[in-house]
Amino acid sequence: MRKTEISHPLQGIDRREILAWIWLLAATAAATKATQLTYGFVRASRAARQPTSFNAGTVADLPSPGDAPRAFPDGRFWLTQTQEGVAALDGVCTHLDCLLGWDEQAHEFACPCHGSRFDASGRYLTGPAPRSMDRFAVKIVNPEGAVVASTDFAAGVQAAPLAGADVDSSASLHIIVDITLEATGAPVA
Amino acid sequence: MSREPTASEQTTRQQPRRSVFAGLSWHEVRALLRGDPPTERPNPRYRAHTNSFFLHLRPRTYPAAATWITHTWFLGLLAVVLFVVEFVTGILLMIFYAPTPEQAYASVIAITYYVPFGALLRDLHRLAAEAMVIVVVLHMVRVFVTGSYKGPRAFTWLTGVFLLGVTLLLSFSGYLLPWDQLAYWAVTIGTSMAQATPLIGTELNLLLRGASEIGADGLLRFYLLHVLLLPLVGVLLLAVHYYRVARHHGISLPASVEEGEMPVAMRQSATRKIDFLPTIFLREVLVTAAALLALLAGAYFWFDAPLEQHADPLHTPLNTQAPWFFLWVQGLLKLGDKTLMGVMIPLISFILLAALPYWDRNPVRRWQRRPVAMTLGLLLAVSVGVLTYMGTASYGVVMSSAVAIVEQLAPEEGEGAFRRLPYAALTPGAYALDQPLPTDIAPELRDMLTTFAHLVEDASRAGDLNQGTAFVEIIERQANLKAVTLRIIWQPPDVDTLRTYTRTIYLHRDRNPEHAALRP
Ligand code: HEM
Ligand code: FES
Repeated sequence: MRKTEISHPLQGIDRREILAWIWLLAATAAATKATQLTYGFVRASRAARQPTSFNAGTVADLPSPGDAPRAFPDGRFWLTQTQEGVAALDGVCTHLDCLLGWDEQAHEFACPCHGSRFDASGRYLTGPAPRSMDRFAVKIVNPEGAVVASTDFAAGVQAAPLAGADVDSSASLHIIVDITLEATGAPVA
Repeated sequence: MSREPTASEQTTRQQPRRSVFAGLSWHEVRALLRGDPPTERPNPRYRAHTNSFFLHLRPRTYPAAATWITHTWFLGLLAVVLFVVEFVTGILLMIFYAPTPEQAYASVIAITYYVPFGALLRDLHRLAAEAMVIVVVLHMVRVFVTGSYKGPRAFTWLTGVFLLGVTLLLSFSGYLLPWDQLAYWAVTIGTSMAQATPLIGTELNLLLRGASEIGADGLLRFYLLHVLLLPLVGVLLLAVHYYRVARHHGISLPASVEEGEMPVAMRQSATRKIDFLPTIFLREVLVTAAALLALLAGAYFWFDAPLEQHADPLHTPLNTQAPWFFLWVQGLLKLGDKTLMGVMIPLISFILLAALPYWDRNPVRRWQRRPVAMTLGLLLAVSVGVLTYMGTASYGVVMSSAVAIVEQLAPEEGEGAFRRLPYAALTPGAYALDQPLPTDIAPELRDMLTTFAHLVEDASRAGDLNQGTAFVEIIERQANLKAVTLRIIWQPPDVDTLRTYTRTIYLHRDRNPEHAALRP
């Protein structure tokens, strides 16, 4: 009989053992691939919420600056008017996705889940939320369909400026909110 | 007929019985139940442990001290009993439950109000689920205090911590199924926390919800987790856990026996062997029966499985709270960053807990001689307690007084004083509460309105709701449905317009308590 004195981990390896190791490796590879396929299967998910853009009324219906923002529950956003113009605030709390409510008494947004609060323009005030409220893209279009003002997140314009808008025709200027385009709120310092 | 049957005839006649009683003869079964010694040699009761599948899972004998009540408190057994109760009641509930957003809530209503014994089954399922969380945690506490996780039992402890995880996840996944407001938002928060996990968070959240928000896909996924995957994982883990206990190392001896300097006679009696059949077996039957009776009584007389309003993805209710066994996480979340507080700290605690026997190398088992371990354990318990308190809705979530007053009388979720009024007492009409009330309204309604008026007056006097006035409007919307609107109007000193807070609740004749009393 062969003397087996093992000094090296692979010493004494023979054909049978090599084949067995290859089998095991192959089985592992197959299991990995199967896991990957299963993951791909389970992960498949339906399209994002519909519709993607909302007609949020006309400039004439806007809350005036300083007034309570107007809720659009179907789109889960709030329209507000600030010095900078029209902004669509995402109503989903930046902490853990609860929906914010409007506290009429304090004139603030209040989260029912862990108590974060934001002012009427969406700026962070208090609570565990990591950043101010997010904003959706806003376009203001005239009856001909031309865009007269809009947000431009890339350029840092977070509200559609109303400065140039013709106040008399405000009832014919429609506000379009696109909930597929979003700017995240400023992080809490 | 007069002749006694011979021994061999007796054996033949008893063959069918023997095959049913795991090889025990009828005489032997009766002797066993009487507590008599075995009637044959070698002891046929030990043979039964080889013949029977269920008996082979159990040890033949136990050292006496390992079965002392003050050592195990039967907590492991109780956890198994509750797990089985969950299986039985859960499978029965599945007959009527439908896991779609359109049908889930209605099916739970149907189970509660229309299916015979449905309310009882639901109460049982939910009560046993919550009891299971408590029992499993207590089981862990006792293993910790008796130092039974040390030495050969390290891996058993590890599987136990995973079983605790499965128990919590089972409860949490079941929480969504009734598809009510509480469920919907608690699970929204839970899955958003998953999102905060570094690297895999977004994927994990998507995997759980099956879409960007919880909807039909999310409900189905939670349902499958709840009724298939988690129970399966639970059973497998339980099998590994118990196999270690029964076949590998047995239940530990109390440290006082193992380490104690005790007189030989005392030690001998503490370590003498007790047979599973019949002593331990009958004891377990008794404990199981008592537990089932307590559960039944609890579900019947005291516990009502909650069901709030139908889930509304467009509105988060006030006072949204995690289920009580996750309030500590909600408390952590109020403290700061969600990745750190919501994911990292719970995850690290879980890992530390699971690995406890691998880093606590102190071989001493008696709790009196493990001051560091006991202090750490106590600290953990106190922190979980404090965090649980911080997790409740009343902590850290400030409600302004108008909302708080209305929430107190007619909460968005839960019952509240207005909903407790008898349906007939809600006389339709518009009531301005700064005016004298009409004389012909029911006294219950009058009290209610007076309370409301006082609350607003108090807040107004405190300077909170300047010149606040309360209004209530009751409208009969359709047969058997009334809408009650509560309104507070006030004049903030620094603004020139009046401010209003309004809430409308709907009361259906059928949802009132006197009707609920008709539940089977
Ligand atoms: C394999 C066993 C189980 C099955 C087949 C099962 C099945 C079900 C079903 C069909 C429901 C929905 C009906 C309803 O909402 O009342 C449900 C609810 C629930 N289950 Fe289970 N379940 C099992 C085990 C467990 C365990 C071990 C726990 C916890 C430790 C648990 C906790 C819950 C909870 C908290 C609910 C919500 C009950 C409610 O609000 O009505 N379940 N389960
Ligand atoms: S989800 Fe809003 S504070 Fe947590």
